Amino acid sequence: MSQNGTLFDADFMERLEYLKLMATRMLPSRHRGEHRARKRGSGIELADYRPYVDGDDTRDVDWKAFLRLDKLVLRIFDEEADLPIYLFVDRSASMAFGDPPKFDFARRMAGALSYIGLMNHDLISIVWYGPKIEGWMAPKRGRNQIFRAFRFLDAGETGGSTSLSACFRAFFGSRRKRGLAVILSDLMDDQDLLEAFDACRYQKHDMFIVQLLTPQELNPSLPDEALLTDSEDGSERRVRVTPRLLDRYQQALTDHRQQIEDYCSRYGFGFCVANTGEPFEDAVMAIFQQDRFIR
Amino acid sequence: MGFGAAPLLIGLGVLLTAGIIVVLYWVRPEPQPVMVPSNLIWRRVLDERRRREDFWRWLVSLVIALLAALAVVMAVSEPIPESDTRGSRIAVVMDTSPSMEASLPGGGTRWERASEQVERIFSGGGETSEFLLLDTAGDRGGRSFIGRREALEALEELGPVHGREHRFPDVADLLEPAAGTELIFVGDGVYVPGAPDGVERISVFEPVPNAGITAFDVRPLPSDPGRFEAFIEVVRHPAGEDEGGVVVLQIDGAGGASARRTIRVDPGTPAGETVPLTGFVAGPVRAVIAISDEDGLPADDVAHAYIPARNRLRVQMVGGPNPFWEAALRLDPRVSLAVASGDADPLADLDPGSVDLVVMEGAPPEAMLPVPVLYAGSGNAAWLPPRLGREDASPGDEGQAVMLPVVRGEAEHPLLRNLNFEDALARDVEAFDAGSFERSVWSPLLGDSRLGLLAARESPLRSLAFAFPIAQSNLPLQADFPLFLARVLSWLTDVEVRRVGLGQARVAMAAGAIFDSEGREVPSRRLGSEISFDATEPSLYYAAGGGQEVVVAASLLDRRASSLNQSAWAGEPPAALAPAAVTASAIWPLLALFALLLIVAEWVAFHRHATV
Repeated sequence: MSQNGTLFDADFMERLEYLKLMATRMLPSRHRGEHRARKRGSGIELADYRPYVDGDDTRDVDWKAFLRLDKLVLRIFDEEADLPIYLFVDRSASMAFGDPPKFDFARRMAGALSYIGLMNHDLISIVWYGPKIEGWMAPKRGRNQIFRAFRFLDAGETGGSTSLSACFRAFFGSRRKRGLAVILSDLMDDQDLLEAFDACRYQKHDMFIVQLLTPQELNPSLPDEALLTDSEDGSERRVRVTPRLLDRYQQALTDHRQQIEDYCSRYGFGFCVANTGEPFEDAVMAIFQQDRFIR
Repeated sequence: MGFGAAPLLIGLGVLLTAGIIVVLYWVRPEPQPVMVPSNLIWRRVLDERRRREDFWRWLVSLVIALLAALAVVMAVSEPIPESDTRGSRIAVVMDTSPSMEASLPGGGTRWERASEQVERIFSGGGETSEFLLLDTAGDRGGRSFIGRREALEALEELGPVHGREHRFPDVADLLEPAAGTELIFVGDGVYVPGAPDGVERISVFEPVPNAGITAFDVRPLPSDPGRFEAFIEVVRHPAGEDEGGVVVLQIDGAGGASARRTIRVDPGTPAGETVPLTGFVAGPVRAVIAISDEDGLPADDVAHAYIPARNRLRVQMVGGPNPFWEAALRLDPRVSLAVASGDADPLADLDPGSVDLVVMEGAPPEAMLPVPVLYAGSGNAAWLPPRLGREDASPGDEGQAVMLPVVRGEAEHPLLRNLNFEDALARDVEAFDAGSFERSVWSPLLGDSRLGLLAARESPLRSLAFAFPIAQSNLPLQADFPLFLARVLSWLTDVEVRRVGLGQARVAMAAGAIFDSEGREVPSRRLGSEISFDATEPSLYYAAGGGQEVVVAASLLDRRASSLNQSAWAGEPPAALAPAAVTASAIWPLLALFALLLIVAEWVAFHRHATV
C-alpha cells in the first residue's frame, strides 16, 4: 500500500475491515484458509468410496470393508488446496472516465478483494490488461502480502485500448492453476468478449465479471447536437440527440449487458454491474451476495 | 378568401417565412464536441437507426412547421372570406351631411350605422373586388378604384362635414353598363334626398326628437351701445306624436350673469326670442336649450357669441382743446374723455392699461403709441401713411374747400357702409399718397387712386388717420357722423368677433395661431392672408397673432341640420344590416389558434416520443 497514496488510505482500510466483517457474517459456514478444492487427493477428510482398480495406492484400501464385503474398496479423500484468484483489471483509456474514475473504482475493488482473499489464505494475482497484458503481480499468499498488492494497484495508470481476448489468450495460454478469474472492466471492448470468456472457460476457471459503468454512461446527458469522440481510438460520431435516440442507447446498453449476463448464467459464472457513482463497497458486497468469491 | 394586406406583401411574407424555416431545418448547428469513454454502444445505436424513418420524421416536422408558419402569415394578412353577394366593382356614396350626426334611438349615430353598412359591403365583396368611396361633400370625388384595405381605411377617415354644400356626386359614368359598377348610396335623405336611377339606396334614417338653435346674435341696444340683447331662434322637431312643445333656454355670460326662458315652440316652426342681457359684461355668451325628450343632435343645442364692447371707453385727447372732437365724443355715453391741457405731455408715459384710445391732431409722436390712435391733421411720422408733396397734396387752392370724394352707401369698409357723406367738405388737406398704400399696412377709406383722405390700419394696433384737421371740415356736421364716430370707436377699441358655422372656418389674419376656449392650440393652415381651421364643435375660438386678436364664435345654427326628421325617406323603414360576413377580425384568431395547435402537437409529439 502506498503510504501517501490517495487510494488505499486509512479510510479505505476501515472500509476493508467492514467488508471483512460483512463477509464473515454472510458466509458463517466457511472456514478461513480451508477451501475445499474439487480435486480429490491426499487429504484427511473422507469424501467417498470407489472400487479398487489396478494401480491404486493400496494404502487407501479400506480393509475393514474388504473383510465385511470381500471386495477391495478404495477410500477417497478431499485434497485440501488454496484457491487462486486472478484479478484482471482493465487499464484502458476508457477507464479514466467518471467521478471517481472507473479505474480508481476498479483498483479499490481489486484492493478489497485482494484483502479478503489474502485474509482467507488464498493465492492472489493481479493483472493489468489493455490491448495485452500490461503488468502482473505474481500469485501471493498470506496476510503480509496485502501491502505488496496495494503498492501494485497504486502504481497503475490508464491509457490505450483494450482487448480482453488477447489478454486471456496470453494469460491462460500458459499453464495456470485453476481458480477464480475476476474481471474488473467497463467491457467496452470491440473484440468478441464471449470468445475471450471462452478462453477462460476452456481452462476450467471459474469467472466473475464486474462491469464498471459511470452514471453518465448509464444515463447520458448530451447537447442536442454532439460530436462524440472515442477516448480509446479517437473515432468520432456526430449525433442529434433526441429522446428516442437516448432510448435506443439505453436499449443497446441493456442488450450489451444482457449478452454477457446470459453467457454467465449459462455457464454458472458471476456477473454484476457496478455504478461508479455509488460506494465501491456496494459492488464488493454484490459479489459476496452471489456466493461465489469465497468458497 | 381574400386578404386585407397587399398580395405582394403576403407573397413576400410567405416566401420569407417558409425560406427561413426550411433553412433552419436544413442548417444544423455546429455540434458540441463531447469526449466519451467509448463509442461502442453509440456505434451500435447509430448503425441500427433506420435512416428512412429519420427522414420521414424530419419531413413531417418540417411540414408541420411550414403549416404553422403559413397559418401565422395568413393570420397577420387580414384574411377575408370570399363572398359572392356583391359585384367586382362597388362604388359607395356616403352621405356626410351634418344630419348624419343624429343619434339613433337604439344607440349610436346615423353615421356610425352608415359606416357599419359600408364596412359590411366592403367586407362582403369578392376577393378581386375593387371599391370606390365617394361622399356628398365632394371630398372624395376621384374615380380610382382601390382594394378592400384601402377602402376601409378611407372609410375610417370620412365623417360628417359641416359648412359645405352637400349633393349627390355626378356618377353618370359609373352608371353606364360598360362601367360594370354596382353603385350604392348610404344616407338619411335629409340633405341629399335622392339618388339617380340605378343607384341602390341604403337608408339609415330613423326619426329622432330634436330641438336646435338656428340663430343666435348678441347686439348692442340702439339706445344704449353699452347694453346688449340676444336674439335667439329655436326649432323643434318631435319624432312622433308631439307631447311637449316646450324648450328651456339658458343664456350664460361672463362673470356669472345668466338668463333663463321657457319657450313654447311649435313643431317645425322657428320661434324667435329676444333676451335682454342685463348685467352681462364683455366676454363669452353661451346659449343652451333643452327639451324633455332625448335630443337627437347635441351640436345644435348650444350656440356661442361674444360681447365685444367695453362698457366704458377711456379716451385721451391730445393737442389741446378741440370743440369738434370733444362735442362729438361726449355724445357717446360710453366715452370717458380726458383732455390734455397746459404743457403736460400725456404721451410721455402712456399706460395702455389706463387709456383705450388716443385722439390727436397737430404734430404726431415719432413712435407708434401702444394704444389705438385716431389722428387728424397734416403731421408726418413714420407710423403714419406717407403724404404727397405740397403741390400735389392740396387738391384745391390754399384755404379752398374740397369735396370729399365719398360714398353713397356702397363702401366696402364696415366703417363707411350705408353712410352718406355726400356734402362733406374739407380744407387744408395734406393728402396721403394713395399709391403707397399697397406697400404699407394702411388701406384707403376715402379718396381716389392718387389722393388718400382717410386711411386705416389693422396691425399691430388699429389706427385711423384723417388727411385734414377735423376743424377744417364739415364732416362733424353730417347727419351720419355720430354713427360713423360710434363705429370708429367700436372698430378701434372693440375685440373683433367673427361668427362662423361648424366646419372649416377662416380668419383674416396674416400670421397667428388658433386656440380653443381652454387655451389649447388648434391645428390651422395659412391660406394667403387668412388662417383656416376646423371648428369641429360649437365653441369659442381665439385667433391671435401680430398684436391682433379675433374671437371666433362657432355654432351650428343650421335649420336644415336641425330638421333631422325632414327626410325624403321618412316613410321607409331603415335598411337592415347587410349579412354579417366573417370578417378579418374573426378569421385571424382561428388561424392563430390553428398555428398554436400545430406547434403544440409538434411539441407534444417530440416530448412524448411520438415521433422522435
